[in-house]
Amino acid sequence: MKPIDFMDALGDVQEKYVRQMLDEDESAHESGKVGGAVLNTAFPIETVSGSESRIRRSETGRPFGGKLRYAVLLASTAACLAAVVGIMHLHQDSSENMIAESMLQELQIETGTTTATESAAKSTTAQTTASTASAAAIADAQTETVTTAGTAQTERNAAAETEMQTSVSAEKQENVKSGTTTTVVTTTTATAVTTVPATTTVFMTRVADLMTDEETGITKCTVIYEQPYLLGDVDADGAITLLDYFLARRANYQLANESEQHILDAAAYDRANLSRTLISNDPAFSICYSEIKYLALYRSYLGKPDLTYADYIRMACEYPELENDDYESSVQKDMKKVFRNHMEEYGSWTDENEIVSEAVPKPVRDFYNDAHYAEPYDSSENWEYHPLKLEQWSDEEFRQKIDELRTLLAQ
Amino acid sequence: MEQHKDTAVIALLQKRDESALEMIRQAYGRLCGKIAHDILGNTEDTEECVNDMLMKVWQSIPPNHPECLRAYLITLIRHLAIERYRMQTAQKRGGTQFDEALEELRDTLTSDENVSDAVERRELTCAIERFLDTLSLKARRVFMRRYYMADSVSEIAAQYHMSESAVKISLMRTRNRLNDFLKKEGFL
Repeated sequence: MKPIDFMDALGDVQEKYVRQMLDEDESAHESGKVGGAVLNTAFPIETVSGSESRIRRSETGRPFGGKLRYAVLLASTAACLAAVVGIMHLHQDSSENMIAESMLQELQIETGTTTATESAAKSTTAQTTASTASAAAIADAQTETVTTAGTAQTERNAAAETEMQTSVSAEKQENVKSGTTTTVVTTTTATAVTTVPATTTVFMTRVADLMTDEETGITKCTVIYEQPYLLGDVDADGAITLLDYFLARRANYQLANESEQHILDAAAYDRANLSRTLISNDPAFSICYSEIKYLALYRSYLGKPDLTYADYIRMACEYPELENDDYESSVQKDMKKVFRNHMEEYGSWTDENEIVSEAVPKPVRDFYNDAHYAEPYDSSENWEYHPLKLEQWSDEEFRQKIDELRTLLAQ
Repeated sequence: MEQHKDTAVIALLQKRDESALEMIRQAYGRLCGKIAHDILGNTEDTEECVNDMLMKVWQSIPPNHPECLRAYLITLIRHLAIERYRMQTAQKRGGTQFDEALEELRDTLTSDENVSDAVERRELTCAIERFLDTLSLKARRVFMRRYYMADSVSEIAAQYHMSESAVKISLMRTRNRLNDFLKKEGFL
């Protein structure tokens, strides 16, 4: 069977399943509940008629449900594009080869052995580490490779194909941690100068894995690799802050809109590991701007200055599967447990476009909320996307704003 | 469009009144266009697909009399878009939500078994329906949103007020269950 066959067959399911999906959406929104989880009732909910139900917070007059859907659609598409750009540069032959190689790497990881893989795109060299490698060694290896990739980025005009290999020295393996495997694939772009950032380095790094207990059927997320490298550090200042979030979000918007201008170069993507698969080789699990935002908030304002992406994953994923599949409430519960003393009501943190928590200093809050302002929806506009301010700024304005935010954060 | 308007549109179709098609286009054009675009990733193809859908509606109502016009249209546009997608497989593609959703399913579903004829496809559909019945409402809704509507993870998260991680985990678990289910049913 091919996935497309499944999609075809899925399209033939009885209409009741489609209706159920649609009806559930509407009834859930009308009742203020979604899937049994009560929405944050601190904000009045209004249902917007249209071809898709949307939820708005009417307190500020700013929509977030519908608008967010398109913002995140764009962002998600951008994240996908970013991944595709990276992968396509590695594998320009066909998606089938891409998949085959991905499966190969998965197999390599599972068996604990890795081999060099050469892509048909002529520009790929696979560099591997042993099935056991220390976290420190991996971090060093990453740093080393990123540096090389950055150099390659500046030398793209040379149109050179470069093979890069990063060795892990014996001394770096002092802190050996079994079960950790990292495959580093590096490449340089042999094409002419382009404004589209080409991801020059791909780290196939598993930070966490999902494991299901055969007896109990319970799936848990296990962090198999403590990531010392600051995933999400877009601006390379050694910290994850809202600056990184803004840069990542702006970049996502630019990619989604096929803008000729790009705020981030390939080295930044490498550094931040944006769009990289980090859990269980599932491409759905990757870093995007929202993760960076949460990390930045936790680290800066919620008393978790050392929080890493691995911690974040553990927090978000490591919980027992409930009989009723109530994932959301379970995740909320865990998050609340971990950050009980630091978080306000969960709903305050799920809206990408608004920060309401007073844990965040007002100037920063105001800056953030203003940057995410968009024209309110007209109920007659079913599919119109109203860009956020941060998306409408010119590049020059954006850079000025970033400087302004940097000053605010330093205060 | 509200239910009574749907009923009115269907009544117009029964009377062979072409204004019904314009009403459908106005009320559902964007929704259907979005679904087609998520699959095809191309504006021109999307427009053609929506036009094809309107033609199908014209041809199929009557004799059909859908209870829920919206669901009927979604089913139609999805079929048409996938059909067009299949026709274009020789062309380079990638980057659409549908491609992404297919990619997610590849590891779960790919096997040497071929779903070769209509009978087998119907059997597969029945199996999928049985599988859907085993899911909780929430998991089913998330699954359908992703693989039926080709909505992005972010969209689903926003739609149902879930975190993206929760959506991803839900999808991963459902895919794993689907894999087990289809193996037991002999499809994999």
